[in-house]
Amino acid sequence: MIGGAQDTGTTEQRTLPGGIFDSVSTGDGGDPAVEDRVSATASVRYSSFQGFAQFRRRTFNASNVATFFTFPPLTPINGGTIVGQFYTPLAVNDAGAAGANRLVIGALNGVYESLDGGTTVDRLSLLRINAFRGDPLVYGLPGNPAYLLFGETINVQRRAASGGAIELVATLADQVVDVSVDPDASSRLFAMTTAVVSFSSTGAAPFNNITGTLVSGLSPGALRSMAFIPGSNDRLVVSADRGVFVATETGGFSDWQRLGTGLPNAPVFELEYDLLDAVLVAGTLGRGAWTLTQFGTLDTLLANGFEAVP
Amino acid sequence: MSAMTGLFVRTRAAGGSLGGRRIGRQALRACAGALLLAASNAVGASSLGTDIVVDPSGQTLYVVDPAGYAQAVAVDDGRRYWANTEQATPIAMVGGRLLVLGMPPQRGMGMLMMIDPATGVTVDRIAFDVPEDVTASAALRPLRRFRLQVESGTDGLRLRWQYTGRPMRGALIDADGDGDLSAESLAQVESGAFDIVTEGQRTLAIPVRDASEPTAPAGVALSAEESLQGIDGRQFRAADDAYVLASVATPDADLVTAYRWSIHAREDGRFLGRLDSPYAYAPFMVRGSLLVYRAEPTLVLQGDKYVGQPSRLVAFDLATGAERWSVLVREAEYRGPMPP
Repeated sequence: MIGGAQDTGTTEQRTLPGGIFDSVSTGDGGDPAVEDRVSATASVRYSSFQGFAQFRRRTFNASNVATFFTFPPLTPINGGTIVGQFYTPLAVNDAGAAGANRLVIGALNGVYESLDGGTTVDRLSLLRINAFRGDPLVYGLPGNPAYLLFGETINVQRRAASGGAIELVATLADQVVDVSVDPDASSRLFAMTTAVVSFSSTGAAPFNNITGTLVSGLSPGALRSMAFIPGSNDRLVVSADRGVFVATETGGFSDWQRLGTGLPNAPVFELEYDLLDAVLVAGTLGRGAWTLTQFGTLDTLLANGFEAVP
Repeated sequence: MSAMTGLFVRTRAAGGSLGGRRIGRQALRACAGALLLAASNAVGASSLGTDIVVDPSGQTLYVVDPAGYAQAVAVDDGRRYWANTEQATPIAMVGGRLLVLGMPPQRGMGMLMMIDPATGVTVDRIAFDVPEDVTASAALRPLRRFRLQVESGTDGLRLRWQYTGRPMRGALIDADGDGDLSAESLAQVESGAFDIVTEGQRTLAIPVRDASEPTAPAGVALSAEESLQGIDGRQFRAADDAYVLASVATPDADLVTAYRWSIHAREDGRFLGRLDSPYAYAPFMVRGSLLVYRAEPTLVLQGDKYVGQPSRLVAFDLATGAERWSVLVREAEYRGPMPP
C-alpha cells in the first residue's frame, strides 16, 4: 500500500502484512498510483509532492525490492508544460495489459494523458479535473483503455473510446466529488456530490438520485468518495465524514447500510478498491488508512494496528 | 440483504537592469521600424528540450551544467569549449549569438544575455519586464519555476514565459475538514511574452500583449502522415528534422516496460542503429553515427547495489552500440528534499 498525506508526504508499506511504512518523499504527498496489472512479477509506483512536483516512477520486483527509479520528464507533445494542482489527480489505466504505461493527470492547466509512463504527455482538454474534494477520475475499462470519465466542476465528462472527444455526460446540482463506472457494463455510471449519489443505467443524462436513506437515515455527513465493486451482486461503496456505506445492485443501489466495523470516528476522504487483490482501502483524515478484504468476515490484516508499531 | 459486517483494520498512520537595457510596456508604441530578430532555426529544430541549444553547424551544443552555468560542448567528443562565468540558461541562437537567460537583478525583471558562441563572452544584456511578484530565474527552486520558450517564425523571435510559484506550506483545512478550494489559488501561474528586436545597434525586449501559456513545439511526435512507412512504433522528430526516432515498447523484467529506439534517416528511412532505453523518447540529434540525447536521472539495482546516473547529455555511437561520451547537465526541476 502506498499513500500520500498532508505534512507526512508519501509513505508505503514495507511488507504485507506489516504496520511499518517507509517514507518515499516528504512535503505533502500527492496522489499516488500503482500499475500492477501489466506484469505478473513487477509493479510500477508513481508518486509526487504537492503541485505534482518531483513526479517519480519506481519499479519493484516480486520481492518488493525497488529495481528502478527515475523522474519521468513529462515532455509535452501537445499543450503546455504540466502545471500541477495542489492535489493533482493521477490514474493508471484499468484496462490491464492493454492499458500498460498509460496515465491520466488532472493538471491545473488541463487533462493530460501519457501513453508511456510519463515520458511524453498529450493535453486532451483544458478542463480541470476536480481535486481536493474527492478524486473523480476513472481511466480505462477492460477492452477499452481509452475510456475516461471525470468530474469537472458540476459536470461529468467522458471520452468513450479511442479517438473520441471528451463530451459532457451530465450536469449535477453541485460539485462532482467522485465518479464510478461498472467495468462490465460501461453504460452504468455513478456520480456523487457531497450530498447526493446519482446513477445512470444508460450512460447518459439524466442521472437518477439513488441517495435513498443514506443521508437522511444514516447521518453520514458530507459524502467524500465512492468505489464500485463488481461481483455476483455488484456493490457501490460510499465514504463520508462518519463512516463507509454500501448499497447493492439487488437493492437498486439505493438501499444503504453501514459497511464494516472498527473504523475510527474520522472523515474517510478516499476509497480505493483494488480489483486484483479484492481489497477495499479507506483513507481517513488523521487516523490512518484501513483495509477491508472480505465483506462479512473480519479482516486480520495488521490486526495489531499501526499504534502497536514502535 | 445480508448484513455487511466486515471490520476495517488500521494499516497506516496519518499522516531594473544592471547594465541591461530595459523597455517597459509603455514603450511598445516606440518600436515602429524596429527589426525583429529571428532564431537561427525553427524552434524544436534547434534545441534538445529545455536548456540545450544546438549550434546551426550541428557541431556544438550549449548546455547548462549542474551548477547552472552555460557551457559549449563539442558534439564529436564531448570536449568543453568554454563555460560562462555567470549562471545562464541557453535559450536559442539569434543573429549568430547565443541567447541565454541570466540571473535576474531583482524580482519583476529578467535579464537576457547575448553570448559570443565562439568564446563564451557576454557581449550584450537585455532586460525585460515581468510582474513584480515574478522571479525570472531558471535556477532550480522548490515549488517555483520560470520557463522561457522561443517561438520563431518568419516574423521574428518571440519569447514566451511562464512562472509557477507556490508557498512552502500545505493547503488549509476548513472546519468541515475540507481542503480549502481556494488552495488552488495558492498556485501563482503567470505568463507573458516579448519580442526580441533590434533598433540600430541595440537589441531590445519589447513586451507584447500575449499572455497565453508556452506550449509544446509542434511536431515533436510525427503525425501518421509524416511517419516513415513500414517502421513500427511511435515516431519522433530529431532536432534538425533530418532523423526519426521510432520507439517500440517491449516487456522488461526489471522495468516492466522498456523501449527499443531505432534511428532512421528521414529522407529515405535508412536505418542507422538502435538503443534500448527506459524512456519512450528523449529530445535528440544525430551527427554522423552519434545519437545525442538528454538522459534523465536514474537509479538502477545492479546485483545488490544501486547505481545512479544524474541528468546527462549522452552521445551514443549507433555504429558500435557504445556510449561515446556524456556530460552532466542541470536537472529539469528541483529534486532536493521538501520540508515535512
